[in-house]
Amino acid sequence: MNRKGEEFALRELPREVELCRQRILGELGERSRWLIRLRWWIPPSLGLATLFLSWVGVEFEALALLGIGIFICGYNVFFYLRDSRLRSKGNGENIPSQRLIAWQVGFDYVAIFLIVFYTGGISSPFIFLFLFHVILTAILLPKGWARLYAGGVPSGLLLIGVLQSLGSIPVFSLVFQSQKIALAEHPFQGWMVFLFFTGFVLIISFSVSGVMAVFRERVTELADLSRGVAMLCERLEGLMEERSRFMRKVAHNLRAPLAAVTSGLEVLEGSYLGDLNEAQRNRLRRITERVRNLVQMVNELMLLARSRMERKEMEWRPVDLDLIGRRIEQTYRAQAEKKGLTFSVERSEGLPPLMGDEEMIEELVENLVSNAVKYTEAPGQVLVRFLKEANGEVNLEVRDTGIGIPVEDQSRLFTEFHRGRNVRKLDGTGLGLAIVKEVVDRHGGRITIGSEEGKGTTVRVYLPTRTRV
Amino acid sequence: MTTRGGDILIVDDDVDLSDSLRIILEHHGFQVRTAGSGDEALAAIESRVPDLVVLDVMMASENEGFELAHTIRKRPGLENLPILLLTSFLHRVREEGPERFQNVLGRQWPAQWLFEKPVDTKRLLAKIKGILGER
Repeated sequence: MNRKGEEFALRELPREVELCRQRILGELGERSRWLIRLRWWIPPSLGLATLFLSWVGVEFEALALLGIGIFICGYNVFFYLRDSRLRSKGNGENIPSQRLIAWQVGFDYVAIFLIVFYTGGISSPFIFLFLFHVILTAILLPKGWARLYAGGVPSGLLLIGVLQSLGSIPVFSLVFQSQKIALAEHPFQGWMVFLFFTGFVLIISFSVSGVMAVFRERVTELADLSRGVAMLCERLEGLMEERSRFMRKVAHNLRAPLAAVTSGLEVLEGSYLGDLNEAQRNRLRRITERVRNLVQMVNELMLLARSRMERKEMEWRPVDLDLIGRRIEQTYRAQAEKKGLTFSVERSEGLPPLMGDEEMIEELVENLVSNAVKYTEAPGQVLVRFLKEANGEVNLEVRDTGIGIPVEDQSRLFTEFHRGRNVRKLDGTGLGLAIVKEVVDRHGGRITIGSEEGKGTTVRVYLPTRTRV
Repeated sequence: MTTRGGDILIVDDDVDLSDSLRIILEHHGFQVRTAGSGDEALAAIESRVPDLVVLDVMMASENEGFELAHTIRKRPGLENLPILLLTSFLHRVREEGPERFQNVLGRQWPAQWLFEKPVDTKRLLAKIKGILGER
């Protein structure tokens, strides 16, 4: 019965989608920072690996590896400072520039190629370090860049291999117990490793960057869609306002002729133009009742229209619930008791201060109480309670033992002019609960209605304290 | 019909409304004249000063009734002429906000009594009897 959540979601949707888009892209950007953090571990890891390999008796260019570790540490300091500067500037979206990521990966490639070169070229187990970067570039960089980096891996390895085979650059092999890991001396195995590795790198890069390209496209589409939804919402609000303006104009224009009709009826009712017979008097009384109902409807329509039109201009002031409770009691006790109903108003001690529009809150309570009195027959009971909830909310509860609301009408209670099956013969405008809903929404509250036909109805309005919508 | 109650001028551009009021008031012994505009009202007052003016605030223009009340107040000898306003003004102030009516609210109130439309004729009648009985 509470549509508040849906309405909030609709209005806030574009902002939510945009935040979501930024969160997704920001999350990707966060990977780049994570890369910088991760890179701090590489130099000490290289140091530990060097110690371990030396301890187990593997022969390799330990000094070169330590030098590379220092090189990595050096350029990571640069990237760390650059990233911090970008973050402190803030580009609004919390997304680091792709150029920074591209440069980082470029430097990492140089470092890995050096490691690979000093640990056996194509035979080096460190070639698998490239896989991590191939996946990372496919995720973080545009498709073209990702594929360029992927292609760079086999190209670089091939270049090292060719230059080594031509003797242009030395071959540094890993040696363990006098055994070399040197695929260059076994061309078939060397080529097989190279081709498989290349294929593997390219497949990973193409598939991941393809998926990411679609993903980015969808995120952008979602952002476009959210802008469309925002425009639609704006247009919808404009239309709603137009409808309210029209409603108010119609209601206002109806008021003057209604005033004339009312006074004309009084002339007839008061027999100022001569006595009426019983049948004429009865007929006139029925017409007068209908006109009074119409006047009430016009007044309520204007109130509803005003409330909807001035949504943004509501004034928030402390609401005196005690005073409202006393006024309600004064207004309705006599009426209820005249009908033979037991009427009581209960107020919790120390009700928290409620911010809102006092006139509207009173209108809300009046509507609920007047419904309860109207739709309850003797010897029934109407109980109005102002309660303090454990979560700090105020609960305005109106409970009656009246005719109740048929199940099929319960979903349309807040629709303007809707009247329940069992009350259509009674006077009423069908606007009371629409007004109640409007007031509850404007105060950021919620409403629940529990009812059983023939047994009674309990309406509970929960209003937050000290908050505004 | 006697005219023991006094002379009342009803100023309203809604002929049906003023006519109904006229019938009711005449029935209660008042002599009633009606005017449909500010000019007609001033002419009626020129010809004979009534004991009470019952005035609709929003006639052809929004503030015609107010302006008329102010005009009457400025006329020599009419400063204390009782004026009772019939109006939807308070409704409108409530509905449209007081800012829109600063030109009216910012000035001295030109009438002693004010009744919201649609008028409860019993209350109106009681009030008029009270006003004219006080003279």
